[in-house]
Amino acid sequence: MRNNILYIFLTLSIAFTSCEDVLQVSPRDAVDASQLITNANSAGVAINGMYDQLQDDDIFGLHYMMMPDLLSDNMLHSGTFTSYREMDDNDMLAGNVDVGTTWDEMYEAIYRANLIIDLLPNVDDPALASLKAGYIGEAKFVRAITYFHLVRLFGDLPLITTPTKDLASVDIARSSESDVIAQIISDLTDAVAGLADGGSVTRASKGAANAFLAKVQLWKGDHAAALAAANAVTGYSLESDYASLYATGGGGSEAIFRVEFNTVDANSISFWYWDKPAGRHEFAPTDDLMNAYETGDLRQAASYTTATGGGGTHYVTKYNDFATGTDKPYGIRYADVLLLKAEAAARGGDYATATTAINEVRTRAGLADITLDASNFETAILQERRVELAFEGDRWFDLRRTGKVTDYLTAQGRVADKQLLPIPQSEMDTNPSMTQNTSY
Amino acid sequence: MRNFLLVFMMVLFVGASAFAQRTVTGTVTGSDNESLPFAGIGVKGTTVGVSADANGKYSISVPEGSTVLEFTYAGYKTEEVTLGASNVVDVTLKVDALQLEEAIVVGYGSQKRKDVTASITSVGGDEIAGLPVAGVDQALQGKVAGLVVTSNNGQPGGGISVRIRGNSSINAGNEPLYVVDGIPLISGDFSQGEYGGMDFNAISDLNPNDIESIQVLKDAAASAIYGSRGSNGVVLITTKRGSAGGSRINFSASYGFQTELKRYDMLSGEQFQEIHNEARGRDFTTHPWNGENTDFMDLVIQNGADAPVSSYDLSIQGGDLKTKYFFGGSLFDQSGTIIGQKYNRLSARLNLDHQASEKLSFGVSVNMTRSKTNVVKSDNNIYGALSLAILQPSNVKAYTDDGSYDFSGMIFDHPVATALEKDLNILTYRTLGNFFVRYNLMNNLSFQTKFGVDQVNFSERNYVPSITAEGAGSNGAGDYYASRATRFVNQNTLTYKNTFGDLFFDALAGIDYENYTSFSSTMSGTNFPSADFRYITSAADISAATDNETENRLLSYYTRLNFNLSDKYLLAATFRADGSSKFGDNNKFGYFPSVSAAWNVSNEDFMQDVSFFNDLKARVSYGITGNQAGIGNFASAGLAFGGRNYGSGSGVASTQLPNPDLRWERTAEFNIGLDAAFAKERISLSFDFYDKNTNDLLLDRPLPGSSGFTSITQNVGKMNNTGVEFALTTVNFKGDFSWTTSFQIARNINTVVELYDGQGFGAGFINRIDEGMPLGYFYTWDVADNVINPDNGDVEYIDQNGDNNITADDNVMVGNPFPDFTGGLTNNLSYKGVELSFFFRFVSGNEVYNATRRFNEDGLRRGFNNTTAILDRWQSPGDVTTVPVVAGLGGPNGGRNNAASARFVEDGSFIRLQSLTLSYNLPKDILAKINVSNLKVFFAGNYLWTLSNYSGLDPEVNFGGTSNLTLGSDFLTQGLSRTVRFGLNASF
Repeated sequence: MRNNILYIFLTLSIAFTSCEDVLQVSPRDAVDASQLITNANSAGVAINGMYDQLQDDDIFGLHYMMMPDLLSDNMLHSGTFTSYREMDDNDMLAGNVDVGTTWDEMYEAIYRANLIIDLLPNVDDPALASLKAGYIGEAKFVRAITYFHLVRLFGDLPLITTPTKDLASVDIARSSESDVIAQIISDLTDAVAGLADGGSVTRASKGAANAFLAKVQLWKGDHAAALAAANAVTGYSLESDYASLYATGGGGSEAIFRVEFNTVDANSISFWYWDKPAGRHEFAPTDDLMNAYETGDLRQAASYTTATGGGGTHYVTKYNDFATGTDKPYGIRYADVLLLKAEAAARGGDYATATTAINEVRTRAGLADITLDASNFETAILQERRVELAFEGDRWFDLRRTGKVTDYLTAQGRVADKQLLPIPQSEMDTNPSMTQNTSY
Repeated sequence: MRNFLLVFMMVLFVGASAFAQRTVTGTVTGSDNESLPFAGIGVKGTTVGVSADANGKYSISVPEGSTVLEFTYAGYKTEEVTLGASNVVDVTLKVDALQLEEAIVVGYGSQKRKDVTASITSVGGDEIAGLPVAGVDQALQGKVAGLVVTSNNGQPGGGISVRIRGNSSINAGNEPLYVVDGIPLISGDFSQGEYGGMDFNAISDLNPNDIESIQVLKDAAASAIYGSRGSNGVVLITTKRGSAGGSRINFSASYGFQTELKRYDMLSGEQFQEIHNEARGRDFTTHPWNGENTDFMDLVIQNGADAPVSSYDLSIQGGDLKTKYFFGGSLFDQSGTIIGQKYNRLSARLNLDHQASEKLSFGVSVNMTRSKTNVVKSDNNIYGALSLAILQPSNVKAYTDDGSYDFSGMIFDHPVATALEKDLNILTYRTLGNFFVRYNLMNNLSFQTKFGVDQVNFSERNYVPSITAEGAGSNGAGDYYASRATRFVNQNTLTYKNTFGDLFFDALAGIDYENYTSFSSTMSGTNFPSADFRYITSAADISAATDNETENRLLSYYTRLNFNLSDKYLLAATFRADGSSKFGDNNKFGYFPSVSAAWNVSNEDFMQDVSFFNDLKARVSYGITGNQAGIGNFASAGLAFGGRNYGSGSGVASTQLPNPDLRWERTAEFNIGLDAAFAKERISLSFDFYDKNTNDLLLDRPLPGSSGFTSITQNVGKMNNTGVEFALTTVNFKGDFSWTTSFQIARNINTVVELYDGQGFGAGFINRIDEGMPLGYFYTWDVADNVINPDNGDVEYIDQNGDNNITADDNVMVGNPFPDFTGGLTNNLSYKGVELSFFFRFVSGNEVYNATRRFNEDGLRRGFNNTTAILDRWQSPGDVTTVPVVAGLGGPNGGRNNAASARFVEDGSFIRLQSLTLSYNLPKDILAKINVSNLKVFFAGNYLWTLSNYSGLDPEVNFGGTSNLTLGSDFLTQGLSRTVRFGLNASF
């Protein structure tokens, strides 16, 4: 009997300790990166994984929309985070943590798109044949809009179009802004070709690619190309009620591209804007913006709290799914396209088209028509964009694009040179090929 | 390895047979003719055994054929008596000098103290039992030179940082390996909720009263046998086991009260308004004082009888020659000094040993614990009760006229409602047990196999009702987090001991297999019907649910050889090979050798005439240890993970670059030491010097974000810890009045030697990691000696580079979170039955970054309340002060007056009366009448007195929890509590 017990224990011990194969353990919920895409199903899953990155707080989870307004005259910093205060002051240190994470996370989105663009052409699955062009189009769209946001914030960029696989190539130097823009235009052109019209507005579509293309061309200064791209955005129309754009389930025919959030995959955008004590009230509209609304502009009450509440403060209400965190921020919507079209047309001297387009936007806002001409179009369109697209991540870029940013910085007594963000210190420290922007 | 195990399988042994019996009776006495109660009597070669009665009398039935009786008693030499014709055998046992000689536990075995060649400090169970702290680790504070134990905050059951000989790692763990009865313990924080820096420590599940002894293995010679987990030192915990004799019952109880150490002196409502008007606040207007004044600190703090701490412990031990038992149960209950904080632990233990035959023995240990913690978040959290009480302006009402919470003036949330209306309950069930079989193959050779399991079942419930501001937006929010971690261990060891003339030889060889699995899940819901519904079942929206599991395995081969020549020359060598599933494919096994030697000078012939020295031993050791705690289970692989979902579609994304070279951190440690006892052992001292070089530091090598990755874990850095430790014990008086003093002091110098590409980086608020500097040193703007410019009231920062601009380039080292010296001084005095012991602990030369002051001395620029320190503000030109002008948002100097700087870096040195105990042992003759063998009543106080220049609540706290890098930073952190208790210990 005792011998048997000893036998049992010795046998057990040997079973546990005799085989070094025990050191091979596979992860439970992961695959090797090279196996990311092996068939049609995993390709679709990888595409979802790419869009997922756009939900990051540093992209459509807040910063994409917030930063351009905070940097500009639309929004002020009313909270406690130094990193946001520095943005409001247009006086960021290179070590600004939110500048750093925005850079990192946007480049991670580019990496995810690059990996798909790299892997997908080599995957052989008959079921994938009809999907490949669309998937690659989606990846190029995501890469393009991410680069477009980055290039407008930081200027010249490391232009990376293949996925990082090891440590051999992690010190890429900056390419010129025009090279980056050229890549963006190329990607969006490919996306237009590869993508179909329609479909879900939370994914890339032909219309979304054209809409962004119009915006990129206008940034580049090619108003004819911008107009052509804007004209190619078809099948969308303005919602009759501006406020409904920001209501749960709103957006309808006007949304062209927006980022999906649901209760399980929620954001905290509204928390950052909402009044204390429930929200952080980290940001608030400026007096300058509040005064910029014309009397009777229906957009005013839909954009922020006009009544002074218990805390006596104004706060942004375009993001208001406070309880569930399901606000779906716009990447681009039809009103933006109409205003891009108005500007592109006006810059080409076609004031009639421009006037029609801007008045479509003004009518919905409950405002009287105006007539654009050579003398007033730039101011009028800039003003219209400001109030129409407030808190949606456009103002700083519009000021930069129209050259008004120097006036703004000067008027505020700030360093007029600081029109680009600093290259994050983390990138400066780790990438020997990197150079810093001027004045930092 | 397989072969030599197979050999054992062929070894058989012969069972005993039973024959007719005779009965032998007698009395067992000790050398001074006192009877030995409950002494053990056994028949040699059989399983028959009995124990004597309370007077040493016994009666035993001896099977025919057996002729030898064995008599045993703890502390006495075992006596064998061959039976003659008489059936009455009286025996007198002799005191065993060797047994009395202290034996200490070492890795996978034990050694006589005088044979030890490594640096090991022992702490007896009696030194830590009954302290008013949840964890064993906290009880070790100040007891061991070179062991620095820091309580991170005052939450009962909260996390503790333990460092042996400094911090040897940046990203891997710095906590030592805990080994309980041979089984490596699961340690660390299983909490998934967000409590700022508040960690929860799995070590607190062990009842300190169950502990027989603790050995702290400090140098590589001691810890290298634990291979890839030995770098941070090892804490060996041995629990109490039964000994032969009748049942002995021990009961102890204590009850006491706690008081906060210190409180911030906040501005009254009127003072707040005055400063507000001077700063003209957030809205740039002035207002008259509204007449309201609420002391929010007072509302959230509870003291004295409202914050009790109690402890009850009952244990029974005994047994006979064959079977010995120890079992017991305990209850520990502690409230915090913030309303709503509570910790409660119930534990039970059974340790059983059975000698089945002369050759075969079994043993089992089972420990079960349930602990419940009611957490009230305190630090680094805008929804913490204490942080809110500090920040909340005082010129508002806390309650409406009808007594309900008044939320109207609250900046973030109501401090009292935060503490009382929100749930944050942690429930842990812990099972720790092992079972072993030992078989003596030959006289000198024995084999043991041990199976151990440690399982932690950890769950957290978090609920924020909609009436609080935190829960208003989501209409009530709840979370449930569950974790289950299981470590399974199988250890097989072969030990051999023999003497060859003057040479004593002792060898160990073993194979271990370990498997660690951890499971965790979360669920979160929002939108609850009302505060009557607090479980996620009632939530309208399920906002998150996760579930995952991970695993790692370890396969190890190890050996140790000890040589002792004439008790003069000692040599020891250990070697361990650790294979880990965590290591990269190119480095699957790590090898960890050590060698140590000691010279017992006092045993040399030429020392025999030197009567002054009783003991003099010189030690030297060198060894390699590892640290693998920082390696994620699958960190070496390039992986794409799920959960990257978009909308209703599941998503997968590649987020990790591969590193097939990934391996353990490697520490080479040199130690030289001296142990001496002299003047008739009235004075004993111990000295150690060590030089500990860690290479292959696991660093998250930062990558340019443009690569799509921000870091990769690589073995790239180097760190050095060099230090000295000194311990001195003196017996000042002996006899009726006895007085013993022990003093210990240690100094550790930490230097980060090498980082990836020389790249320093920041951590926490102002901590920084740079080559050539101590880990996590404070790096920020320095301020001029006069601090404030008397002309304009602005802070005068030092423009280090002279560019007339204060920028990030002007940051300099302004402090070191590591102390120059740490230590303790204990005095034990006794006169007849009265004992007094008091224990001072000190930490000297470190700095603390008081981030709290950046908020509560900010001149109201954020709208938060300030301490009365702000009353010393600069007000008009010529004022000489250290507090700048108060100015609202966007006021003078662009808010830079409030920037992090040396202004908030303070001296963290302190000396503290850690404990004071006064006890009285009732006279034995009185106790004998009530059948009680010992009864002690005591008064004990902890943290009774602290001397420190630190302006915050407690210099010891750290909002960064057990973080390696966020060191010495106080941010709205709760301090520890002063405790006074009364109690008794009784044994029957």
